Amino acid sequence: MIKNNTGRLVFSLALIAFAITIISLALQFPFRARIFPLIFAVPVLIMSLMQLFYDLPLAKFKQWFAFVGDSGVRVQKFDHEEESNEANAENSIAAFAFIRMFLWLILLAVGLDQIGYAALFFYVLVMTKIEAKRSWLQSILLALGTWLTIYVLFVWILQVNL
Amino acid sequence: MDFWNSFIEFWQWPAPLFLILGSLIGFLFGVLPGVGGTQVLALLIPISYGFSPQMAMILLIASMGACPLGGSITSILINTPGNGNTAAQMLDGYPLTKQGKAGVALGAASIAGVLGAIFGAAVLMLILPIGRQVVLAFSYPEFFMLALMGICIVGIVSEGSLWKSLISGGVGLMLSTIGMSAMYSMPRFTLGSTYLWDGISIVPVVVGMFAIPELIELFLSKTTIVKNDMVPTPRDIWTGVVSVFKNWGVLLRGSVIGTVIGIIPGVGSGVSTWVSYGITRKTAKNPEMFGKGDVRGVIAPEAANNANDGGALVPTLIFGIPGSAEMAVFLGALILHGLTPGPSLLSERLDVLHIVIITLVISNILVALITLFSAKYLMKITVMPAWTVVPIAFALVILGPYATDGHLGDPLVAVIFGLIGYFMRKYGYSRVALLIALVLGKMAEQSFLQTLMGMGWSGFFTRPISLSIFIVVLLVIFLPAIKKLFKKSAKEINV
Repeated sequence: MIKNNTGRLVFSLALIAFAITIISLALQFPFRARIFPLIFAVPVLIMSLMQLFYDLPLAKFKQWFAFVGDSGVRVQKFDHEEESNEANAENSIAAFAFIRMFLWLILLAVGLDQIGYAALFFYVLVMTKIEAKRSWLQSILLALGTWLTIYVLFVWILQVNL
Repeated sequence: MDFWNSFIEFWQWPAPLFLILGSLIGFLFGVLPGVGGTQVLALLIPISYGFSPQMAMILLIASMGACPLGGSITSILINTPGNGNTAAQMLDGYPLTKQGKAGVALGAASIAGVLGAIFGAAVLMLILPIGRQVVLAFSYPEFFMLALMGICIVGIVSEGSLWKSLISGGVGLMLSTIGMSAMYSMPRFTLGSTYLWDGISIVPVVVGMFAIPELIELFLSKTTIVKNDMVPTPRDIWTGVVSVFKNWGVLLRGSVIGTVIGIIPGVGSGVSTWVSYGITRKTAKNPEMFGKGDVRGVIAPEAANNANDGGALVPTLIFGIPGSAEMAVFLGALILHGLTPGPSLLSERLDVLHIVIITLVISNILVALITLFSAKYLMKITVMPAWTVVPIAFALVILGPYATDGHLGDPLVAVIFGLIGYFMRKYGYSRVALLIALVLGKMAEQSFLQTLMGMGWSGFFTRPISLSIFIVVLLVIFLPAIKKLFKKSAKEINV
């Protein structure tokens, strides 16, 4: 519960930091270039501050900022989150796995930039072998199939060369 | 040459071959995330150079007409829009897929798309003689009011906390100001990066916020998109087709919105899909069903998206004003083939205009048939193990934007927004609100400042169309409250 709330607080703080950055940069622009960003950045800053106060574990703040009315509503829940709520350890494993996935994606983007389409082969191989823990044969076949399909599609048919 | 003669001539060899080729290429481009009509036209124009103007138009318009439905398929099946204009279809299309009803969504999208395109093409044909007056009726105040209407939709389509949705919308509007200022030639909030001078591209943002978190979740869950007890059946496709006719009002409204917004230069299909979705949801008897897999949430944006092409061709053909990047490339193709847009095109090359309209309709019918007949196989994606689907989807999600621009910025933006989207979802901030605001922000700012400079504040309220849209905006915002008030006082009187 505390951990979940910490995340919310950090997210609100990030929003506040973003709004402050936009405001401070916008103030350096001429009037017509700054008016539109400011029209929205100022309310976002105020609203995020109220959200932050509301999320703080203080009963008085909850009462004062009751109109923020979050009541913990979530748009959708992650399936694995619902399961992992039972154990904090599982929750942190899931979070770590998420971060790892994002890192692989960044590596794929950089790989495409550096070595071109070959990066796709290595990416699919790594994802299938290391993350999905499939056999070498399955991993190589999927990686090769993906690379070949995309290469034919993008390079031969659509003539998109990296 | 009258329309009927053009229609007969249309079927003479090799026109059908160009039609099929164009439709297939457009469909394929549409399916690939991050690649859309602009790219397919850019690819086909050099190829079309050696063809007669008629054949070139068939090839280009067929590819353009086939693109939207291709993009919707990935939105529905894997929550990854083929392009920014098909993002609204994810909201109800993907939940339907997760419930094992991918066939319903695909069937509905195919038929809504084709009927929307027919509507748009019919309006294009009827409106051409009076199109000049229609297009000129819209100026900056109307653009701003339309953007305002779209932004108000933030409050309609958002789930959960309205407070957080408003924050998300505000963040989206702030993000839309990144890049070159509309009024001054100066970069804003670019942090020294030339990549950000053009602003943040919509496609990587959509892909990042919606597709990446879902795909990661699917991969980590080690299951399939559809749980085993809800395997999709081909019978669902027919259910989806029928649902379009049952919801003919939603279809008609979506088509009208798509066509009208298409006619206005510079507004674009992305706006029409969100406006159509938002109004359908707002006026529905049971709006709480939307976002959970309501087929009306697929029909409304799909009809608007496909009807948009017909509308967007009006300013392109009459004035030579391209309403979107796609139309700008198409305009280049017209000029390349010696066809000058404007009144002379209407009087001297009516045959070409007829071919454009016929091709637009038939390519849509063709691609809808392809989708309906292949839906049975497409749905198999939803029961394939995550470890086979996700790495390939990720490869396409990252490759699509990178391959078209050749810039590392787009994939990185996708990953960054993937992270932001993950946390937004986790903490109940509306991703849809951020996206709508980002799409509309630039237009809102530009038209707001241009109206103020050219006409002053009165400019917003003295022009009839602008004022009418403003009244609609007010109604959208306050109608539920007024209704509630009336109900309350009626109850009190009865008591």
